[in-house]
Amino acid sequence: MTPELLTQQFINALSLGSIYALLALGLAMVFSVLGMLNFAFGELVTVTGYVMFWLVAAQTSFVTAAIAGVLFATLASMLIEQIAFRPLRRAPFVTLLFSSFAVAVIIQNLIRQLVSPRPQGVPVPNVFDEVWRFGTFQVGVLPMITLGVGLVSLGLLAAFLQRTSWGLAIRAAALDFEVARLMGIRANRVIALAFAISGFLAGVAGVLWVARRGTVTPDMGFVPILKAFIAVVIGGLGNLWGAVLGGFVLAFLEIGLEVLLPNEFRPFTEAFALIAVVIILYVRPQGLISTQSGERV
Amino acid sequence: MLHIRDLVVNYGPVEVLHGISLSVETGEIVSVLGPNGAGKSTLLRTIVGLLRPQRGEITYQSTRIEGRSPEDNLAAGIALVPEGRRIFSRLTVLENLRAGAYLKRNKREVEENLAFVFEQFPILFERHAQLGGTLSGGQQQMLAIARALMSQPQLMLLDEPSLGLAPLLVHDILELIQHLRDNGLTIVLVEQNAHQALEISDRAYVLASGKVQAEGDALEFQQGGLDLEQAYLGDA
Repeated sequence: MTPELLTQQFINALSLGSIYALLALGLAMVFSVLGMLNFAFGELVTVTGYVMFWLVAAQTSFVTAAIAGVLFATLASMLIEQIAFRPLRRAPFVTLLFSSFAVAVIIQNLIRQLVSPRPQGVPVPNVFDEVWRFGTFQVGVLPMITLGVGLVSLGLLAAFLQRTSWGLAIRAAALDFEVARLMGIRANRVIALAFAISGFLAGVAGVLWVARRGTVTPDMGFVPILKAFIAVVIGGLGNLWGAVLGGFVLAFLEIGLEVLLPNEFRPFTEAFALIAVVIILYVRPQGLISTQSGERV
Repeated sequence: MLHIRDLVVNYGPVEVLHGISLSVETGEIVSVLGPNGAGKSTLLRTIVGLLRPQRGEITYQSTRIEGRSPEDNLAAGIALVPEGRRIFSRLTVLENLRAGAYLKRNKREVEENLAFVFEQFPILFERHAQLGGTLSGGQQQMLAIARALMSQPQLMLLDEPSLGLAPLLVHDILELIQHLRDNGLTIVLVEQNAHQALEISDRAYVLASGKVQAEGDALEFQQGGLDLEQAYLGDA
């Protein structure tokens, strides 16, 4: 393989990895605070896509549509918390599982009924398809934009989590929710905040996802939540930075296999990637970064 | 300062506390002793608001607080140092302390309080950038207490602070608790380590099988006027 091709694939993997990292962090954010997977997480990507579809169709610029999509996903996530999670705070695990699953089904079917069950095109700016050339090296514009947006978002979030008292509250609640309450951190507030961040991340990832695909479909949230879930498991459940790492590891596995596997095996890339995940978890069942919480007696 | 009357608490379908009455006056160290499973932790968790009582009253500074949230109780000055320390293992020592000061919005006050805590616990200052989980057991217990101090409480509830510590460290922790009281804190101390706890306590309650089996001055228990062993046996 030429160094040019290698560089290009490396950037592709980083770019896909930053989308997976955003998704995984979004899913892990709610999981670590609530101890509960939000099965409607993928639908946040979907609503971002449809808000963009609608706005772009109404002659809004792609960037404006993208910002609106992110805002809408953030609000939608907070609304889901209010409707599907908050009233069931003391309910058993399975109840919450069903209620978030119900939200996912309702959103998908609303879109099928109100918009269309068929794929809708979202015209992407032409510049995304262009290629930058540096001598013999060439990199796609979209992977670079994806990487840039992904890293900036992750950086902003890291700064928020590490440097603000709300960020500290989230990290504390993720480690030990009950003790966080003993510190005066309000349960409702920190959960709402976790959902807002989760929605924001799903929105940013959704924009990047739509820019790659150029279409939206009612079930487009399935692949993102699946990837996010795998990344979160690789990284170590309940660990925020582990989720980010897991996202990049998954992307490098997928792109690496795509490059290395002979042509006739290409259709099975994802299967091989999952086998690799199984091997990782066989060696490190607790995930790459294990969460050791305080001694509990 | 704290008055509890006929407190009944269930843990799931099981009644764990069957009508507990207890009071703590300002400036006292009151021990709650008793065997494993007597309901001591349940009592503290109910006072602080992590559990809701079925019946009974909890009055703190003339206000009824039963069923109030831990967040509100902390704001009112009640802090719990939970059993097993439960420091945030993946946060640094400094972040643990800042989490403890979460409710304090006055930045200067927080920094002053932090300086005070570091003065009290030089070892925590030395290790302020380390992850909490890397501290030894005794240091973690100090961190747990220091973290609770960051909210500047008036009433501190300590759940088995000596658990799992070497005898010498147990002595240090109990001395620290005494020192905190001398600085104006009121303390409820839950302990299995009865004899050592009595040494620093003003009064004690013995809890067994979810009921108060004996209560009195610490001295009476120590001198045998009240039979500690008999009270421990409870209804059994």
